[in-house]
Amino acid sequence: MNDIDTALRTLYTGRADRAPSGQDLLTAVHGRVHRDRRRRLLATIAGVVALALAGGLGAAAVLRPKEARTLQVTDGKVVGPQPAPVRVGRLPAGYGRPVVQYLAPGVWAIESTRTGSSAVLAVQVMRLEPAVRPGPGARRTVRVAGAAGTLYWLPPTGGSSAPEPGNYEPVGPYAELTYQRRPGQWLRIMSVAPTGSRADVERDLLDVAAGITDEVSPVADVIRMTLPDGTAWGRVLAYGDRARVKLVDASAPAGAVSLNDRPDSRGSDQRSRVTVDLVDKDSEEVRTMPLFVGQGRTLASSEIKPEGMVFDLGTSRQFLHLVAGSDRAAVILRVDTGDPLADVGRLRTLAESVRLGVDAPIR
Amino acid sequence: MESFDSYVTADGAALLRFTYALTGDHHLAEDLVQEALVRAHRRWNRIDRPDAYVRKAVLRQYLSWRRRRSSGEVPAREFARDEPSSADHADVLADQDALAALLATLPRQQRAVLFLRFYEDLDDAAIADLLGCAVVTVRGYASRGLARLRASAGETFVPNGRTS
Repeated sequence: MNDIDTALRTLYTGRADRAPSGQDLLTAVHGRVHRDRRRRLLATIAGVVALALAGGLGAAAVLRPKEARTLQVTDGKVVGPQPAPVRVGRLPAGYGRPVVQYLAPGVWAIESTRTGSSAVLAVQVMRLEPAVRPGPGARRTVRVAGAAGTLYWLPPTGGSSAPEPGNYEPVGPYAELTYQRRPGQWLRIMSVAPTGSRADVERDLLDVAAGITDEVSPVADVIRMTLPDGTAWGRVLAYGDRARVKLVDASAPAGAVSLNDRPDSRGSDQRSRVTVDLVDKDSEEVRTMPLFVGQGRTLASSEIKPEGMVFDLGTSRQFLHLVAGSDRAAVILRVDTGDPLADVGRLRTLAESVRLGVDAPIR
Repeated sequence: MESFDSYVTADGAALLRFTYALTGDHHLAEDLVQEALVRAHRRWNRIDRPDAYVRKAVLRQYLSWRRRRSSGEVPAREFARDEPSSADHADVLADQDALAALLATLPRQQRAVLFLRFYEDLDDAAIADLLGCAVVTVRGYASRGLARLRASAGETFVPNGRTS
């Protein structure tokens, strides 16, 4: 055994010693099971309704926008990001209702997970042409609604073609269709971990493209808040029971989607000013906040002060605050201490303005 | 057969240790374990070996592309948790910090293989079975991962308790 081997063993053992206790694991799992059942039930109902509407015209489901959606407003101010400028009208059989994520100013991702598998289909919409994906996959030109598009296919990469960090190469099987739908509107439709043949997957992508219309799709309404002056919505993500919002400088230009913006990529290299995570106030993440800054203790949710709590580590400031009107929800605001928004009073004002949206995973 | 609740109560902490040792990320570890358990719950009556099933589910989820986060996945928090009690301990922690940062630059498949080899002490055949790939693939991941760690160690990590 050499030194690297020994160091790795020590590292893993040390991590195991610091692992979460799992005290509330059973409760958390039952909560997820409950939500999972509800989602599956709703998906089944939606599938039956969609098939009925389609009149049995094949396997593709017809998706309808949510009715009676509330406006994304609080305290009289409009506080939601712009909706995606398109609607995904068709998805392959088995995919659930899509959720609209806001990836950056002028960039959206409309994502749907296939029930019972890890396959994801995502339609990314942006104003600028996306970069050409590098890597070993095969590319070919196709016609999409009269325009030229590029189909990229990466077969299963279980073996030696594993991606290296930094080249943004996904793991196969993977397919994407990129094309300019209209001036100033580029689409990248991604199929992650699909189960069908290459021909099936490519046909699905072209079918999804054919079903895209100009109707708007509201971004997942997970958190509402009053934005500080000089900031704008930078990212709004909603995955399962997680929700995250990033605020960027209001002058940040619209960009093309990053090749690294994949479904469920909660992290990003986006230059944000404030990150807001919606969390359960009894979660491990909240409980370990004092440990994170070296205070050597854990935090019970009953100790969270009404005025919020500050945790500083180096140049990172975290501000924990309960969400008004909720028994369970809290927000963690993360900001660089060099940013004017790191002022505790301003953080508190921002945190106090937070309300839960209709799609919030924690009520 | 053991009930689902009994299993989670008895083995939940061990599962979290397994997953946190793999990921180095509290948030992700809890997420992976909970999701794997939800999947197990759906078909509990058909699972013969719950622990093997759930661990495999955790690994597959960890390697699933849609779960990957983008660049910068360095588990910085874990080393801020404990105050070093002596200079030697501080050196070890600093060393581990450097190693964890290097490890985070490896593709997840390589990280998973190294973890299963050095933490779980599994042989290549068992690792291949868990990850659903060929034994030769496992060896390739291990050799490339270790080679990269050794190459990078020359610049940032000296495995004797010091960082350069």
